[in-house]
Amino acid sequence: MKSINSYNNIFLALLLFIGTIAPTGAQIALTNGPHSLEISGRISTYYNYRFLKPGESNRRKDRFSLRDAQLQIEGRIRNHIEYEFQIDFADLALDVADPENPGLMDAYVQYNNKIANIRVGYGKLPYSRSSLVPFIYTPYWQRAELVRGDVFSRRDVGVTLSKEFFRQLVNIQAGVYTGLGELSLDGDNDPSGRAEYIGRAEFAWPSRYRYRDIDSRVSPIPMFTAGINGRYSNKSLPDGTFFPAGAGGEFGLKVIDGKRFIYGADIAAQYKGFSGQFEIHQIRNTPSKSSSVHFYGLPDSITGGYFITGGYIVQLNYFSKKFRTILSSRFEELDLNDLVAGNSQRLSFAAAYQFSAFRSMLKLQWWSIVEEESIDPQNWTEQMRVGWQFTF
Amino acid sequence: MRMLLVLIPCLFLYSNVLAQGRTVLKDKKYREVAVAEPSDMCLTPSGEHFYIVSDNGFLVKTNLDFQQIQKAEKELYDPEAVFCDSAFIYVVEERSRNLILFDHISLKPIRTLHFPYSGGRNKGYEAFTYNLEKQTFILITEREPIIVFELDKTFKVFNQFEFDYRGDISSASWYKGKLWLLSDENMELLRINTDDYSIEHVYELPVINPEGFQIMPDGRLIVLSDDMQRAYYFDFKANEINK
Repeated sequence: MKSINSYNNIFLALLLFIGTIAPTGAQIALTNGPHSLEISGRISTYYNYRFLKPGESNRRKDRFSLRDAQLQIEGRIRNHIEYEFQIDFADLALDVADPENPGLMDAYVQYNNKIANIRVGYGKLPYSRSSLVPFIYTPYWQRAELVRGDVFSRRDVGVTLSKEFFRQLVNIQAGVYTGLGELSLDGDNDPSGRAEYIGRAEFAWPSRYRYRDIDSRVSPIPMFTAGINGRYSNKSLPDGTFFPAGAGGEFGLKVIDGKRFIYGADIAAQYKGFSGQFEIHQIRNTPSKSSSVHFYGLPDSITGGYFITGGYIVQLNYFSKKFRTILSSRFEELDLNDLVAGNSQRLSFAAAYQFSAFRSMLKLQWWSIVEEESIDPQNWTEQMRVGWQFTF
Repeated sequence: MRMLLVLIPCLFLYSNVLAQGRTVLKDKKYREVAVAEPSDMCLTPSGEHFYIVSDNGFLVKTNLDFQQIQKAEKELYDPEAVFCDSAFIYVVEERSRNLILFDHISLKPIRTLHFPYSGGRNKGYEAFTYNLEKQTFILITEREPIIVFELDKTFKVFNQFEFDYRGDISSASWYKGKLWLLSDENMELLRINTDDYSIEHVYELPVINPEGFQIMPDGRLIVLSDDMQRAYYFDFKANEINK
């Protein structure tokens, strides 16, 4: 009986606490005539718990984690210049940049003009709609494996041109980048010295479609968008040279000694709080040497001199404005190398309760490994993550 | 413990059920607006034209079919509100926090006033109108929080208060003794009691990204959609204010 009373007290305390955490005044702006500067940030913390496979005992992933401690500065000078600087202090302490959530997130200047907007600096690449959706606008704690930045980079240093047409229904973006992704910040290029080229085109109907997964405005008419994107790099290394440590990412795939042609497509739709996304990517990797580790010792007659990486993501969401709640489910498949049998499949569910829209949100994600690829074994079967996302 | 688990959802339901009276409006027709990214509108004192401001940084005069007939030369920084009376056109720039008074004939700026406010992007001034009953100008911030500033005829702020509403405000207007506010996020038009600034009635609008509106003298409601670049017309007669 005592224990029930103490639970009630804790619950009441939690309710009182929840009532106080809706932010009332977020962001700060400074203006000086045509120059405005806006300061914002976010803090998010979660608790993670893994259900391990039988026989596994390493529980290091059962922990609290500070995911975000971000500070963002955005500025505009007249109508022509925009700039942004965003840093995540929580990730600066890491030895190797987490591509999903790096220490430096944005540092660019953009010149807007009638011909095309020109963005110079470091920031998100115009590839993959899912990658372009800001993290704070999803109920999930982790992006799909395919777009987390370990299969292809999400950020880089370079130049992006963009142009919108027809009431912003069509959006074209193209750019050239160092090609080392998040590792480009370390300074030098790889010994090939070559760049990566990326392009993306989007079409929306009947109005422009923002990079959002959730229909938080409860659209009164059906809305739809479709996009195609591609990227190419030839990073064939001179004999006796190597990529910088960590350039290949977790799977050694982000850059390879050879050519990579990546192409993908995505669609999204939303109506009356319901929304859905589908995204697919294929990567044709052509290593310059037949002795590449990615061929797993197979002869040219079998590999044909290349291997394919690819996968897709399907996500369905519902937003209840009345109950301030988001419900979402996601299925993802990833094949790291078609020369190796099998692929990985994961199923996720997410729920979020909005204390104050996306600015203050309790988020819960549960995911399960349906299938595992032999070259990417895990020691867990299911994982749960719950925490609070706060934006100021 | 079980009671609490039942009580919490009931509280959420209760807070929504006790909302103000609601009417769902259905649009009759729409017109294309020859102004990119329109962010607010007002009817000229003659009733023959509209003034429209664009997110792209300009003020234009259009005919009643929304065809542009005159454009102000002055470059604007994120103009989000426009209001006019017989003396001036009043344009509010959200980003610079400026209120600029324009001449009706030349569309040239006559006077610029600055109202410092520290709200962030899309959290600055978004609506401006005149309270005929109190004889005060009203300047309103978009969200987080929605603050209503009351200005006297010399544009001196003499009062400010927080408006209690879960959403944003994108435009304001005065019609038949009432203040009317538009919410972009919630796609709602609110009829406000100016005695205590409480919400008397909510009109749901099936319009994406409504950024401006005008209730015409004959009672028709015109709502401007930024994303669709259209003006939607609704049956909205004067007797609506008695609901």
